[in-house]
Amino acid sequence: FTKLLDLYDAFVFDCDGVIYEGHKQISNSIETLKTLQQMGKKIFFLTNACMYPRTRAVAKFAKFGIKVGEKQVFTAAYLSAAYINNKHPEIKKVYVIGQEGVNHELNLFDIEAIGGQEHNDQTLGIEEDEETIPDYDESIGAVLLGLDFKVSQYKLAYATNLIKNGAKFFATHGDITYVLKEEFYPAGGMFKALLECSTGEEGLILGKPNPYGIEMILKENGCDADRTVMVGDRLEVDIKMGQDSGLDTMLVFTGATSKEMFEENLQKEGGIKPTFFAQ
Amino acid sequence: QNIFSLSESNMGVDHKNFSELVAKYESFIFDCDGVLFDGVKAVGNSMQTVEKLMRLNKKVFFLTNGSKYPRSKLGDKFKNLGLEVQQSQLYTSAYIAAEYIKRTQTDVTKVYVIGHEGITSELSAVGIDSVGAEEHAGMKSDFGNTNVGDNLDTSINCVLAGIDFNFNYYKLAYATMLVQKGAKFFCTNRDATVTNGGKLIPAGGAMVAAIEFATGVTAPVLGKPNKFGLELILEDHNCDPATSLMIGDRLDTDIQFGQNCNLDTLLVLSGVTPKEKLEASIADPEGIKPTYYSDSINTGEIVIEE
Repeated sequence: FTKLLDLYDAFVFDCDGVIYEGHKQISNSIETLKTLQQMGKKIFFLTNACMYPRTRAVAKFAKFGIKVGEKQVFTAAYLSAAYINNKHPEIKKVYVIGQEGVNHELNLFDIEAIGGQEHNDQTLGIEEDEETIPDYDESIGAVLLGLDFKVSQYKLAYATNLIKNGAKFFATHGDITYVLKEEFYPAGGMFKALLECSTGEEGLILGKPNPYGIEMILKENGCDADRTVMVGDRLEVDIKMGQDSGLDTMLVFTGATSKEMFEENLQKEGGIKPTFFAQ
Repeated sequence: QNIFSLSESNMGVDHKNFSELVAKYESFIFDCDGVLFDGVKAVGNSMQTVEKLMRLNKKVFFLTNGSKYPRSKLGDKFKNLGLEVQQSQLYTSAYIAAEYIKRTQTDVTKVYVIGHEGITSELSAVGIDSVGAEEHAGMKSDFGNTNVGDNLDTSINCVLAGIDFNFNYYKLAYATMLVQKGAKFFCTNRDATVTNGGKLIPAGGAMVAAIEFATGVTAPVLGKPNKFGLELILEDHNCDPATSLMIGDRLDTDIQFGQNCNLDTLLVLSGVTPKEKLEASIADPEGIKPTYYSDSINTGEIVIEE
């Protein structure tokens, strides 16, 4: 492991399944992070979790006993807002199906976020002459799909009509499910599949594995891709993202991918192969 | 290729040759939305056309992929538009699905339903219990909430999905978990959207796409274009496929159904299929081609042949 430290100046970490699991740190990951910081290495966190603003992540790390700045944390919500702001400056209003973290980050870039919370109590009438969704607002330039536990037909119909009428279709992430108490629960990727079917359009993922996040990290911090490594627990998300951005990558087995799953994947033609793996 | 020439026109049906068309067939199977109904209204004077066929002693059936209404409510809709129909003429995808499950999935006694009374009433009529539908319409979810996993009834070994106006996170999670644990998975139809009040609504096909994506399990369609619907019609009524005409507005459900059942088909342009799409399908060697096409079924007076 110490040899790795000579190779890289910057380390980009996925969080869930790498650094912590819920409220518990994984093994002595915090010690490792502190050591890297003490050695003058730059550390960054790249997560698809969008529920909270980045300040909450900073507070979470503080509770674990490590000081991390907001500028070191990149959530899919933040990346999505930054992407829209930088690549589509003409979009000033976004329809959000997601959690508050998404609205918060959009507002930081002066982008109006509607939908989300206001439409929580709206319903669709089953009868054909009942009230349905209002005429779509033409000033909404994009739909941003995250994970919304209060998702409804009303919101999905509203988003479908917007996209069919030209609004851009973005998703904060494409993760299909997340695990809770050993059961799989739907994540944004399932709703992305639903909207792709209802609109006939493909959604663009702005969080991982879109290389945009790494592009931002490298640029904002003057890091060199050759001297940066991406550490994560998911091959198709973390490792793929690192590879597509020209980084070396490291897969760990403390999260979504077990050593057996990894070995099985190695046998596959075209299977994603990280540069390193570690327990 | 089953293209029939009527007088000078090749496939086109209009007021000049509609009577000729009617004379050729004894049984007429109508799709509803886009052919007979335009939302809550009738398409032009489509009700009069159907009534005329019935008075000519033609056998008339209605085969819809809509699953939100029980057949009795669908019958009421016809009545409100001036046409009395018998329940025995009505075939909804929900009715077809219930019959299919009852007959072919003998180990299924309880079904998880994404949908409405249209589906649960039909399942109940064949003695199958349903869970979900309206009861789960108000269930709340949140991050960290395991109510789906905690409440999952693992004795449910079948999931049936149709359009659901009360679709929510809880129902999606519940259905997905059941399918992942091995429950059979069917859908009433695969429409990606329907139009309600002039706006698009994600339909059963979209919900099914999400579950299929997560589980890798494909849900067979029990409504059109599955030919099981015709088997039911033939069982209940004495009609001959060779003299039956399927009329609809969608190529991939109505016309495909007709082709699957070796029925002649008439595509009407009064619904979801624009003329350009029909022309492209006809020009495409792999495209779905109806036997005939027409602007609508209001093609004028039907003359009785002596």
